[in-house]
Amino acid sequence: VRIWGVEQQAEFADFYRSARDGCLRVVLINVGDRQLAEDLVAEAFTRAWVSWRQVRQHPAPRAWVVRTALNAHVSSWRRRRHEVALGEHDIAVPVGDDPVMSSALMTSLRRLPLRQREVVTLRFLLDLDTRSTARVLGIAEGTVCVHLHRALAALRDATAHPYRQEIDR
Amino acid sequence: MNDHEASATLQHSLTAAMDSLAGVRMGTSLEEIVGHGRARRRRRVAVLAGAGAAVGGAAAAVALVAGGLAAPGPGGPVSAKLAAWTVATDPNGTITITIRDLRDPAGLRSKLRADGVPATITFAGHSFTPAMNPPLPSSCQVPALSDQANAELQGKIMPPPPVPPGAKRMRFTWTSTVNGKRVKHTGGGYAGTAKDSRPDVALTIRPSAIPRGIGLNIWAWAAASGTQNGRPTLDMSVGLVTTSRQCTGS
Repeated sequence: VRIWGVEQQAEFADFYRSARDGCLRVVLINVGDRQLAEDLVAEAFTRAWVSWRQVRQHPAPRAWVVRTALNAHVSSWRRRRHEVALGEHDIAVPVGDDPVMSSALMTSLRRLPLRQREVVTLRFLLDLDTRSTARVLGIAEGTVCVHLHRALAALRDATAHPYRQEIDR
Repeated sequence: MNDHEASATLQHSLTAAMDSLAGVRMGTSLEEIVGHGRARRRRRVAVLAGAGAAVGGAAAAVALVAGGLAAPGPGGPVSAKLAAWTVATDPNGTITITIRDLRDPAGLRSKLRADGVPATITFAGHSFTPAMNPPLPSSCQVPALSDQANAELQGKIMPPPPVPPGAKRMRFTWTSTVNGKRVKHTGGGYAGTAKDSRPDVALTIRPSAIPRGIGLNIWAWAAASGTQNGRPTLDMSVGLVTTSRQCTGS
């Protein structure tokens, strides 16, 4: 039987208030869909609340939330909103008229494999170093470097030939 | 462009993207997150309690088979055996439900009520993932208890099962929910032999620990995880409800 202390509830509330918007923006960059990003982040924070005793001791709780969001299935939150569940969110989706968000680089970023996106996200958007990124993802530091190198190569290639992927699809 | 230059370009673009999203804010309130989490935690506590009981419940079920062969003596277990499920009353006052097939939920509810356990029984035709809590029957209500009080009461009603003396050691597997993911555990049980291991689910209940006005919301379903010995593996969830004629029949 778990005892959920008042102090821990307040601690989670503080964490949610301080981290929610930043996590939402990071996830939004990754998925490109405002409502989907909100659902994913809500799901991740729900899991953080359920497992707060573990998450509060995590070296990078925000990274835990973002990574959980990127890996989450959001069927329950989708049902609550009476929307059609999106079975596969690991695809690029339109982001409207925002020139930054719809740039070739951002579009290419969303087309990267999930692991490469995770590495790029943790390294550049959450500003973790290679060692911390490796710990959060549970992989070797060398593997982080390999994924980052491949991600950069793919992005470099895509931005040099911004329409090639569209033609290839 | 080398990796260093590409990193700088990407970082610059990502910073610009984050800046462009400065007005984007979460619309989900803290209360919604906590409410969703509480429902999920209730489910997890219920599954863990049911899973813990299932280990010993299976042991008790196997012990009953042995008792049938040797004819139980005075004060020995008395059981009502049906093909789909068994409700066994143990000398210490606990009862053990073992479900083998998802049939006759109304009969199981009547038997439990006669044994002092008001309950609503649902045998679902589909499985539930950890994120898909079995719903509360529309005719039922959750008692007004805090999460902690609810979990503590469940712990009293569904105690750790006794280990039959002299029984053989046996391995049982069950599933629970950890961090939102279904995890399979292997635990120790005592009874029978490995050949007796079946995909049943079992639950040990102490009727004397159930306060007036409280009943059990028991769901069982065929787990999506597959079969065992050619039969679908069953899974179970237990929670508390408020008794009423519509919900628990009493």
